[in-house]
Amino acid sequence: MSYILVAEDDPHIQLLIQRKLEIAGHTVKTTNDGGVALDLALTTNPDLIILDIQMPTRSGLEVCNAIKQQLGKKSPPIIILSARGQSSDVAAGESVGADDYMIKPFSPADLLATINRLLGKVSA
Amino acid sequence: MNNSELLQLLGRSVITSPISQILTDADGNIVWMNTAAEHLYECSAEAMNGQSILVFVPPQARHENERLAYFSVQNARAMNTETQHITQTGRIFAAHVTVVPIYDEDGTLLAVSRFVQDVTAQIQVISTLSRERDLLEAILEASNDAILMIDQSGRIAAVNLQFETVFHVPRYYLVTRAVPDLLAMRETQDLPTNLTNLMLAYGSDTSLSAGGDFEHGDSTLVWYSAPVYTSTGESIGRLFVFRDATYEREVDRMKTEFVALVSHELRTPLTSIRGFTDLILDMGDDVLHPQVKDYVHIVQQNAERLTTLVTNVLDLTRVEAGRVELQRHYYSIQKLVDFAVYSMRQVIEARHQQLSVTIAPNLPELWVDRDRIIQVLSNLLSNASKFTAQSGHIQLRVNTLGGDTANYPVDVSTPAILFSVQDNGMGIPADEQNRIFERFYRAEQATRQQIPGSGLGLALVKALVELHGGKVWFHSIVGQGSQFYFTLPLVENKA
Repeated sequence: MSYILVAEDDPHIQLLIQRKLEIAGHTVKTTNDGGVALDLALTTNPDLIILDIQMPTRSGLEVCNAIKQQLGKKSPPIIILSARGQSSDVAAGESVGADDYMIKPFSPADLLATINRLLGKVSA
Repeated sequence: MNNSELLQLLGRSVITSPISQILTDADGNIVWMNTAAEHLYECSAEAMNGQSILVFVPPQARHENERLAYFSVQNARAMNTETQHITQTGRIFAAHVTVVPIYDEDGTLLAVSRFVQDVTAQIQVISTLSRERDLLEAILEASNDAILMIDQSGRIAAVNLQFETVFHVPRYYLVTRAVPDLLAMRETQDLPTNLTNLMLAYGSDTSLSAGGDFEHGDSTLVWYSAPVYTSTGESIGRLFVFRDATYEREVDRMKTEFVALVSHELRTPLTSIRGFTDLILDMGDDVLHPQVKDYVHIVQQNAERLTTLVTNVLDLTRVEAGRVELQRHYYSIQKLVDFAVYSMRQVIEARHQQLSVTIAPNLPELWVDRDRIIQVLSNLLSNASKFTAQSGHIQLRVNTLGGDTANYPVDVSTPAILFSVQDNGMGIPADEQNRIFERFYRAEQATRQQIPGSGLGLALVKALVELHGGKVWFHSIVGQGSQFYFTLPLVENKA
């Protein structure tokens, strides 16, 4: 099973993702702060990272960019979560190197399917 | 003709003249009146004989009448004025009076002749016209819109006060000047080209009305122009009206932003509602009481509805505010149709409806925003399914525009692809047909039969197709079904 870092500042959505992933057997660490998310990403070696865009101290897009810059090819897959659905935001996510993009409101099942695909596993 | 014959003829001519004539002696006493004067003053010449001419003058006009006669005699020439006279029955009328002094060979005044015309009717017409002109002028001046009238020779025929205010150009400078003078001014440099072209096209047959908007300083001006015709159909120039729409635009922008913000803020709680209902339903029948499961299903369905609503409102607001940038690429029509059909298959199958898809062979690729066109097709397929009975039939056809489709309300000369979605459902009543593209409009039957929907789907279809340069229309017969059409222009793939 994998270790997944979840950075999301809405407590309910954070709990939702955490529960869904734990039920699927993953280990989850959560934070509601962009700066903390970057530290944890660089120090705790997660298998996959989920980043909300709007967060205190640093936005998900900045954190994603910093991780991809510093870890390069060794960077784990990153999924950006956004409440914005505009094509321009999707493009912004791609430009900072995000591996996938989920638009709120997403279904937990879709999120899990995306995670499993990025982890190279068969959908649960 | 001898002298006496001539004199007799002159006398007859004066007596029967339709112009009233009164003759007085040098002291101003009446000696003779012609027939027309008898009629005008409602008296007989005999009865008036010897009376002062002043019997025909009301007291308030006495001074000007005496002055006229005095100066005429002093200067020994005919003079005229407009004054008032009074008849023997007391009717006061507007009189045009010409006084002609008559002298003998030594220059002694013999008599004074007066020619009088009743001009009451003319005076009334003039005063009515002048009142109407004053009224029109007052209306123009009171208008909040700036108004400019250019005549057939390209001269500025009129501008109102608001035009002066908006463009900071004094009227006395503008009126009767030519259009190029106006356009050469610093204050008119920000007029858009289509507007200035229209101003310069004076006199030519530019019968069309036109309009638009532009930024003028800190303001947004909406302009409108129309040719001006007289009541007899003669073209007399072109009218330009400028309205300050700054405040409206600002309100509109705030409204759009507000709607976008609210819709956006709704997404986060919706994620929680949908997510946790999914988690509950994942829990399995051994934990979930069947009734709880039913209720959570209802919550889930309504969360889906709310999600669709929020997404549609946000999409529509963005499209209408011109804030959607199409991510255009070339896509095969088959792929676009497959995506749309795939997303709608479950819905259609659940209603046991038959869907047939016919795509003409060898169609070129379309330069479109894939997600938006799938959205258009899905919305039309969803409507066809919702408004058609179980086991109904839905047909999706794609072909090039033209040939036997030439009677459609679009310009077939521009190469385009024609999509159509046909159903054999309830159809749209004639009295609702011109409203179905309105935002939030729902057909009466849809409400009565509780067919789910927000009334945004077709508004969005129209907005998205038009954003791609296409057109949407439909034919529908109640009880037989509807057929929706839309076109997408072909753009040559140079890649």
